[in-house]
Amino acid sequence: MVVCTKLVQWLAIAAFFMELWYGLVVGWFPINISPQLYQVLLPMPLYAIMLLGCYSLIAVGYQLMTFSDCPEAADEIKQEIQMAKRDLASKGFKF
Amino acid sequence: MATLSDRIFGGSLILLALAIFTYYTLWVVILPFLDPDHFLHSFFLPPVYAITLPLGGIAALFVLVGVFVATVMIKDRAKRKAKAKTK
Repeated sequence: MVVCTKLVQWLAIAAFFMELWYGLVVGWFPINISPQLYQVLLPMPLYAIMLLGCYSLIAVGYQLMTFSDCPEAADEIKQEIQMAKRDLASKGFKF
Repeated sequence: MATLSDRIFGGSLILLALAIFTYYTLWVVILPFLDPDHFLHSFFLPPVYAITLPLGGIAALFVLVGVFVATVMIKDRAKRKAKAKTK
């Protein structure tokens, strides 16, 4: 049984693209790459890291913006705690 | 609803991410295809820095995280030693 966790999957995909990128940079494939295209190709791994970072920032920022406080629920649980304390105190529990 | 400061901070994170994305895409993907004397070139450093600056940034980030983890661990160890002595 081959271990196939999400980590292994992502590593495999990353390795494939790194291989492809390296091959294109070094010139394994019989393709003509113009100097401009080569200049774009060269920083592609960094570009991918930048994309990941931007995605993470946006995800964190969006979740932070739409994060919901529930003041009613906070009041409710405070009341319930007070009720429970009173109940326990009436039964002789000392805090 | 999130608090106002949370919303401002989250929004500025999103704006920062979009700004970085736009700037880096322009720098790395668009700029090589423009004429060398195009006016956009005056807003960007030479392309070498498009590789070295992010690499330096990543290295600095790793160093910062490492220093932070190290200080936390050292503090934790000192605390534990102090506790062991009082016992």
